[in-house]
Amino acid sequence: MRKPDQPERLYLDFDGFFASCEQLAHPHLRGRPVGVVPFAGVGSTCIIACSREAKRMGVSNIMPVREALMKCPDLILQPQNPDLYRRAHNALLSEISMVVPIDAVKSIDELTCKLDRVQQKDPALVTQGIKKRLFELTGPSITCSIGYAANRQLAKMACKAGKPDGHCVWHPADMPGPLFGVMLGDIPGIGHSLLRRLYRAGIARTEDLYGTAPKQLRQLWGNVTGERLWYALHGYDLQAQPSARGMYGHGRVLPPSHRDLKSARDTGKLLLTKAGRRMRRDGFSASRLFLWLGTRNGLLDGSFGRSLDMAAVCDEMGLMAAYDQLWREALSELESSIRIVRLGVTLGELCLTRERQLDLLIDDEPDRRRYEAITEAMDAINRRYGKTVLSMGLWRPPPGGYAGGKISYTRIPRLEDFY
Amino acid sequence: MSWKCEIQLKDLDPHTEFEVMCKRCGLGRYETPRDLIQKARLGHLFIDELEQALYCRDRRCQGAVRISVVHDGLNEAFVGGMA
Repeated sequence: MRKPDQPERLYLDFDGFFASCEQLAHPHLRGRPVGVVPFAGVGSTCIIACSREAKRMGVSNIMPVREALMKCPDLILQPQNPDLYRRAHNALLSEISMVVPIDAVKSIDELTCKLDRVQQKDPALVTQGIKKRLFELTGPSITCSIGYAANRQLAKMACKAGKPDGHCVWHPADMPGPLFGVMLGDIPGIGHSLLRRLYRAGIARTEDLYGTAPKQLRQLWGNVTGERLWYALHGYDLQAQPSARGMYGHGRVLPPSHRDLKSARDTGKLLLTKAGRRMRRDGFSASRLFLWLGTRNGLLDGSFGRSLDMAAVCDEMGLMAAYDQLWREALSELESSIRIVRLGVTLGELCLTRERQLDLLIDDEPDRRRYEAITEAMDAINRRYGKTVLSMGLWRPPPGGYAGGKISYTRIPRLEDFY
Repeated sequence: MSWKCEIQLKDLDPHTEFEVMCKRCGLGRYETPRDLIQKARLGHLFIDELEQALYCRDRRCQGAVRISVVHDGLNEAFVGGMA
């Protein structure tokens, strides 16, 4: 395995990205403490992102709104706008790629690049180039921190060490000194349960982890990730292996007005339609549909989960038939007065539609072809008009908007996810 | 200076995906340099000029559009917390 002697990788992380985008789009929010929340008017939720001004007052991400308001009474709660963040992401990446080609996008506000030989000699010039472009495009609203190191993992840690609005180079010649300044729990990939496991094994500091044999880390992790992390921390040129798409799904916490069984069923149908569109766009079919319901009966919280086998389906009619069957099972088991607090639908056991193995015992080929042609036509018409003009049954998005347009680590929504 | 003033359509990979979104009504569509060059012979235009040349497809709107590049092909997941 190669061990670079120059900082070959760049890792860039935007500072408080969602809140910064809100400040850019709404000038009255600039310079003020802003907390981005999932929906407007909900007091029992948490802050999903906060501005620099809010962070200075002690507010942090994933903090309950009530606690955040106690720490910062002037906090402005701004409902999230995933479409705005998506558009900002696309614009910012285009500017960055004019300075250095982007190697991988790790999330909506994180990306990594590989430097050429000239850039490796002077990373400060790269930082200057990127920050100048971002300033010209957005002014002081959106800032970023940039870290440089021998591999992505170290560059990410260097980036975090330089936050906010930072520039931090962990040159291979200086390692492992800067690494030892990082707390063990702050190393990406070490969560609470793993931290407890490491403590039990006598590994309490980053120095201890660094000095442990790679095979021992593999044993502690229970898989190859531990060993890979060891090599990454020692400056070897190592990065995450590309992973294949495993499922398409959407989940939603339902607003109090939509927690009856009928409304929950309609919302789930809408989420399944959106998941199905994404799946077809990527050319996949699903052989299993999962339905999960988070229920509340009086003061008792419970759940219902069930899955159903399908014969490599991608058409809307096939997906809806499976969904209806799952709901019939749910209705037969759940009391009619029960409230559905949250629900999730997932399409799993994927295969490429062009390579799928159809069921030999169910001769549904003519029907399937007809349904798939209808679904394809519906998708094309919706794409053409830029909104859902054709759907199976009524199309009633739940309050709060953005159903199916949620941003996650591995998913940056596209334009069509919002209609 | 924005990236839109520095790149000509013909400089881009023919399969690059553009999101073309109306600034007035929000109607969006996707275009690729290959289609724009072959069908409309716009390869010589810089992206900011292309923005001015295109307009909303809604016949009642026909508003000005904003162009952005979609970077979906670059998305990579964290694996076990590894970047």
